[in-house]
Amino acid sequence: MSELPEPDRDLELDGFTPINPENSAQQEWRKVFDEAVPGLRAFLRSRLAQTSDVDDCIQVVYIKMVESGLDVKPAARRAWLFRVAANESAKLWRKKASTNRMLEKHGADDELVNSDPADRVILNETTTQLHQALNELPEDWREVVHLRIVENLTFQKIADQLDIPLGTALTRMRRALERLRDELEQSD
Amino acid sequence: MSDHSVVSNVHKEMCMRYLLGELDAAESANFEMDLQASSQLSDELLRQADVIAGLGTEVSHCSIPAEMAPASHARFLAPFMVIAASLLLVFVFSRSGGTPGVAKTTSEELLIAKAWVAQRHEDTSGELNLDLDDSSFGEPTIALDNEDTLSWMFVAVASNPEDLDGGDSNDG
Repeated sequence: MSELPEPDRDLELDGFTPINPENSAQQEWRKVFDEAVPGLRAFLRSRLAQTSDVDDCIQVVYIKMVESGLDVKPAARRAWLFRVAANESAKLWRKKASTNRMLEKHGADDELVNSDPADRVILNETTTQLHQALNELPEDWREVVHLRIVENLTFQKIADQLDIPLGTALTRMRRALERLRDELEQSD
Repeated sequence: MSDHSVVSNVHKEMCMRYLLGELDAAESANFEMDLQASSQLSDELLRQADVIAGLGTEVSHCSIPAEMAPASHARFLAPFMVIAASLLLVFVFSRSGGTPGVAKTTSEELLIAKAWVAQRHEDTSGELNLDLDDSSFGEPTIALDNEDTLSWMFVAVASNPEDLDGGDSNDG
């Protein structure tokens, strides 16, 4: 892939499929992406040694966002971008780490091209498990999760609506995420 | 169990607020610096991103039946499509007058059969000179006595069996 002209900020995306300016959902996604690029870059730098690899991953994340990210709830979009970035960095790392020329020639390239269906299967399994685990959370935790992810209310608004301190809203959300993550890891 | 307990609750909540876009610009910049320097913080961010992205994706799939209308519509129409296809097949077979597995009678076979019947009636012993297109047969020259495919004979027998002497005796 070609290197991006600006390694640090303000990603130029020449050559990518242009986002339809008439589509507000795509505009919102582009805004989320632009805001997330510095964080994505910092995140990927902790996982990939070369700046060019970081740039490549960010380009792939953008492409996947355009292709398949529109169904994600607004509150979860930045998280979705980080998840895709992690997946792509892992693929790139595996490809570069491979010392077996045969695997690199016949396996790694194919994996990069053909792994999307597998990603979707894993995503579907994960979301199904999350749905089951979500129903088992305490009611007050689940309520905060619903208001934050589905209703897209800020924690302050959630605290106001439920008449609880802001710290309590944050704690309920954090514990809910921890519990859900533990459920996923146990099922793995 | 995971090792995410090594990250403090403060940092976990920072990760959560960052992923949900609730840090201001200065907090975000500081968090991103920490993120690049700490693999533990990076791992914690990814764990939370997995859950939040899964919740957001799953919730959106469950809450947009209207957007899924094309798939539901197709599912609703599928039985009717099957019925329509079945009726079409029945209509085609009824028009062709045959059933699957029975050889279709061609116009060439019918012509040969009529000629053969005429030959039997006239009780002639010479070969027939049929003015037919040779390209419709496997052999370049038609010789009825050597014709391997005798379906034309069955057509003739079926069309007018009483005109044939001993026609029944030729069956099997």
